[in-house]
Amino acid sequence: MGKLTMQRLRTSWRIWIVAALVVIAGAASAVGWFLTRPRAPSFRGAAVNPPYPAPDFTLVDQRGEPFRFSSLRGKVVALYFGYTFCPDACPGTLLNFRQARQLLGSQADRVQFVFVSVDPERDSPERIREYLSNFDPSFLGLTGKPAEVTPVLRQYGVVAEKVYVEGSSAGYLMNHTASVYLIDPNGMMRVMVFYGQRAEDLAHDIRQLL
Amino acid sequence: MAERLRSRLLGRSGELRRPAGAGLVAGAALVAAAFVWALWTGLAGAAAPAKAPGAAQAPPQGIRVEDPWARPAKAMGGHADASMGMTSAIFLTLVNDSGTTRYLVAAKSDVADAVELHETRIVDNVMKMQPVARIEVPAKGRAQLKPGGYHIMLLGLRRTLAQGDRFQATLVFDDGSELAVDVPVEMR
Repeated sequence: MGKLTMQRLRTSWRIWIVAALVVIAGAASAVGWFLTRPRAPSFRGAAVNPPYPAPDFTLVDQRGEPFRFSSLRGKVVALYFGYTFCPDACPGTLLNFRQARQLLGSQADRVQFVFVSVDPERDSPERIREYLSNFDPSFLGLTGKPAEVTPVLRQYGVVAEKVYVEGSSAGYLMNHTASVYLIDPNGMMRVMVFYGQRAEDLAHDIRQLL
Repeated sequence: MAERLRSRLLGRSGELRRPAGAGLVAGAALVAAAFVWALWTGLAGAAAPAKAPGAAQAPPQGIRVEDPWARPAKAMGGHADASMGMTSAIFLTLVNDSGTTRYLVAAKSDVADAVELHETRIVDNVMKMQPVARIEVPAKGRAQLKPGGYHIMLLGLRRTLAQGDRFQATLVFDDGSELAVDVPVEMR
């Protein structure tokens, strides 16, 4: 009787040891998985979900040469649609581009900042060249004939409305989408960064895509 | 200036004459004295900018400019009119120390073919810019002209505004008064 009790006790003690080891191993592997789990990048802008291929197009760059957008594959592209007559929001965004580029340091070599005109009637390549030179000579500026630019704006879902302003020397102004589109090195549309977000936010989201 | 001051004082005491009583008369005298003092100190404070070129009119009372700056922009020669030239914008804060609401109604500068008051608004991620007739500077308050809001738009730049440059602009208020501003060109 006494012998049997001792045996049972010893058996249950072994079971407890094994159970504890199982629990510890389970916890360790859970922690391991948690630390090495595939993480979805977290963006400060709005994630495009699901990502989709950024439409390709060919326009004219600020040197007057044809430029095919898909030739930027392999780089992260920050794409902004604006116009050179714009003295406030567009320079503000281009200044953010400039600061983001500085924040990215050597990583900036793998990023292309692009300005596409929503006002091709006014925005000649020379005009865009002068405009962009206020900010950073590495920026790419694209324009073309209105018939070439309009389909690009439509493909990207960009609002671009011409507004004639009475009593203003401006002639006309453009209402236009103020967000920045981030495209990853595979040419997939990934993030929308909104007007008012800082250069730090832009640099942060670009880093997530590099 | 003396005539203007006299008419203002008469106007003020005229308003106060209606209710009778010695206390009110004394009060009126006090208000008048305070007004004269405010006017005198205001004028003394604004004496320097009044001499600046471009501001031919009297400066506004109790209005001052804080932190003016303009965006750098390159001028492009040979533009047919302001609508085909390059643009820039002046930003600043207007501080109104007086008890009267003032309105900024126009601005002038030799650096551009046209100068207009504009407002940027972001509606559903769409940037909209439009001219405004005036910008309110509330009594004892301030009006901020800043990126993404009100700005003084320079249309058809006659010269390049490079970082570190300075240029003159004149602000025009609803009472006809004018204030000269020395604007630095800054990348910010």
